[in-house]
Formats: sequence, structure tokens, C-alpha cells
Amino acid sequence: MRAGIFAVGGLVAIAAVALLFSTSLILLNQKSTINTNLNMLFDTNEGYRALVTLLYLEKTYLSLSLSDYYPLSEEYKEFLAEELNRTLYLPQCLNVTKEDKNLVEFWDLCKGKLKAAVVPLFVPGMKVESLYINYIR
Amino acid sequence: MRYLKGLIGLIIVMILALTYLATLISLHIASTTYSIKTTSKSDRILKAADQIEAIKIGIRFLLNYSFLQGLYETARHGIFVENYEDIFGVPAEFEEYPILRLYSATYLEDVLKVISKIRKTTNDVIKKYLKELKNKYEIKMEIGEFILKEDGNKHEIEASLDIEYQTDYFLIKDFVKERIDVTKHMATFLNLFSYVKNKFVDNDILSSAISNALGMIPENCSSISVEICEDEYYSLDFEKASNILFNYCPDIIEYLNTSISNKLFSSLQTNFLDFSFFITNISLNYTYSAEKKEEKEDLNRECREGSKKVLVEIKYNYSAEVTALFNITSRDVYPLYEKKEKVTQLRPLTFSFSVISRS
Repeated sequence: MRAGIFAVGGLVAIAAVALLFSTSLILLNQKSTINTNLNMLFDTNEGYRALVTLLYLEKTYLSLSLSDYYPLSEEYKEFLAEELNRTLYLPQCLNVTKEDKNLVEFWDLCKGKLKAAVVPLFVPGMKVESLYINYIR
Repeated sequence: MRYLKGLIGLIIVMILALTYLATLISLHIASTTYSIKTTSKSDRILKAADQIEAIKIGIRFLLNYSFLQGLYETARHGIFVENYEDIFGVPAEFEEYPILRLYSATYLEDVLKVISKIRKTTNDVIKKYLKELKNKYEIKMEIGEFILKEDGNKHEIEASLDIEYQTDYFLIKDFVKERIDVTKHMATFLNLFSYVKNKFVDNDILSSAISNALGMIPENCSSISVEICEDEYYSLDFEKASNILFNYCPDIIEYLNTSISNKLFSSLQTNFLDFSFFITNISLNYTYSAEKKEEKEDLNRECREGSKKVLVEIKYNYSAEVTALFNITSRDVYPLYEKKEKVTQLRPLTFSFSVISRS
């Protein structure tokens, strides 16, 4: 009788520990999902924010918009890279392209990667072009 | 029996535990799916908000480019009178060089109407930008009020735009009112307009150049002395006088071309714009008068019996009609779209027209 009670009690205890363990695992996983989502939100929008921040500088909008007619100087490209480095917290690679033309490219590690952000840019000739940023952190 | 009870109890506990676990896992999966969906939707909303922000930043540039394009298109075809087609049978925009002056008649539009055309053209260009935006980003933008206003020497454009970004689960609406200073661009246009008006409407520099050239025709082209037989003198007609003229003065058209070009060049020269012109037609008209001067015995040709050899002076009185094509352009260049070429490149603001004058 006593042995039976101990056996059932032991099994219940084991089941309880297993439940507790699996619950903890699930909760931990849930936390990780939330963190992943938050990071995703932050990361995927970081490029957008960086582009918008950059475009707030009137000269930058004008230079990027008119780059087909007045190519960007090396000094200006460096300025853009510094600004983006600061906004994106030192990415490993960085490309800024307008449609399919590379405007700023400092490292070629980004080649073949998906573009991280895109915003519309008004350019002369009644056209709206896409300004992309591609980076890896 | 006791073992059976224990086994049933154990099974119940296991079932309860498994049910709990299954519920937990289901909840976890459901919440993760929900979380991912929510994150993806939030992500899209944030991206949309950033794209709208980029558009709002760009509106100043959109207005500026549109205004320049509006100026360019008005300069190309919009400076001519509204009823141009009724007069010439072809709309001005179909012609590379519409007629600005035909003798004393001029076809330059009133400056206020031209400014009104600039406003309309700019508005049309803005709408084309907005259509392009909708095609590319599915962001709907509509222009509400659009004003081109003048305050003394200052010109501004003011526009209000409604922005709408709609998907199946969110709608972002925004409203932007923007004003930009276009004084410099407008001044460039109006300077060109005034210049054209002054040179070709208020005055006729082509007609003056023709008069000047005719007045300076060399003596050997305006008065020609020929030794001919007397009977030829009496039968002298326009055709023969023309043959004599072009024999003795074969370069008269070329001379006129050079002389008119030189005069036009000096009349048009200024330090705030560039120009080019091409004389496409010179129609030289003349009358002649012939006077027998003296009899010549030593004329090296045989005349009919009874016909004396004579020296005849033929005087020509000239008039001319000239067609010239003009391009009056700004010194500054802007990135502008040309419909015919379908290319945007750096171009000056250009007034192109033809003038037909006579003297």
C-alpha cells in the first residue's frame, strides 16, 4: 500500500518537474521570440530611419537627387558614409544605390545581399526613383 | 484492485499533464504566430511612415523640379498667341520653330497669359510626378491648392498636398503645405521673355539687319556697266538683267547672308544670355533701270548690221525677304525633360522661334 503511494507520488513529482521544465522552456522561447521580433522591428526599420535622417539634410537630398547630372564628389561620399556609420552604428558594409546605380559603396561585402531599405526620391524629369540602402551589422 | 486504482490514477495524472502541455504548446504556437504577424504588420506600418516622411521631405524638390519643367515647356511652346493654330493651321507645339513675327504681325503672347501658362504647366507636371509615385509606391497623393504668386519682385509657389498610404489593414493620411521661393528661376525666364519681346516684337532686328545689308551692297552689285549691242539694250528685260547681275555679282546672296548674320550677331549680343540663329532663306527682289552711256567702237564682239556697240549702265534697286530661326537661351542649365527626345539632361531655358522679315 505504502509502496504504491510512493510510486504514484514519485510519478506525479516527475510529471510535475517535467511540466515545470517544459513550461520554462516555452516561456524562455516566448521571450526569445519577442526579442527576435523587437530586433526585427528595430533592424529592418533602422535602414529606413537612416535614409530619412540623411534626406533631412537639404544638400543631401539635392545631391542624391541630381547625382545623374552632377556626380557626387569623393569628399561628399565620405561625408555620407560617416553620417551613415554614425546612424547605423558602424556597419560591416554599406551601399547606397539609386535605382541600380551605386552612389556610395565602401565595402563590397554587401554584394548580392538584399537591400535593407528603400524610400522614394523625386528626381528631375517627372520621375520618382528608389533610393536604397544596404548594410550588414 | 489496489494496483488498478493506482494505474488509473497514474493515467489520469499523465492525461492531465499531457493536456496541460498540449494547451501550453498550442498557446505558444498561437502567440508566436500572432506575434510574428503583428511584428510584420508593425514593420510595414513603420516602413510606410518612413516612406511618407521621405516623400514629405522631397516635396520642396518636387515643386522646384516641376516649376523648372513648367518654365521650360512654356518657353518652348507657350509664349505664342492662343489662336496660333487658327492663324497658321498648326499648333505652336507641333512646330520646332513657331513663327514669332511675319513682317509686321507678331505672335508673342501677353506676359500675364504666359505666367498663367507657367502655372498650369507646372501643375500638370506635379500631377505627372504624383502619378509616377502611385505607380511605383502605391502612395496616393493629390494636389489641392496650387498658387504661383508675385510679391513685388519675389515669386513663390505654394502647394498643398494630401498623402494617403492605404493597405488592407492600415491607412496613413497626411497633409502637407509647402511654399518655395522661385524668384531666381522666374527672373531668368522673364528676362529672356523681355529680351525676345524687345528685339523681335517691339523692334524688328531682322528687318534692320536686312536694311543695313542692302544699304551696304558693294557698288559692283548695285550698278553694273556692260558693253552690249544697241539692239540688246533695247530688248533688255528682267531675265537678261538678272543674268547680267549674277554674272557680274555671283556672290550677292552669300554677301547678304554674311552681312545680315554679322548685324544680327551684334544686335543680339548681351552678357546675360546665349543665342544662336540660322538664316534659312533669303529671297532677293530687285528692280533695274538701264541707261545708255556711250558708244563703244572697240567692243570685242560683232553686232548686227545697223546696231551700234554701246556701254550701258544697269542700276539695281534691291529689297529682300529673309527667314531666320532663333534660339535664345539662358546661361544657366537645369536638368530638364524634352518630350521629343524623351531624355532628361542639363539644358538651358530656350525660346525657339522663327522670324520672317523684309526690307
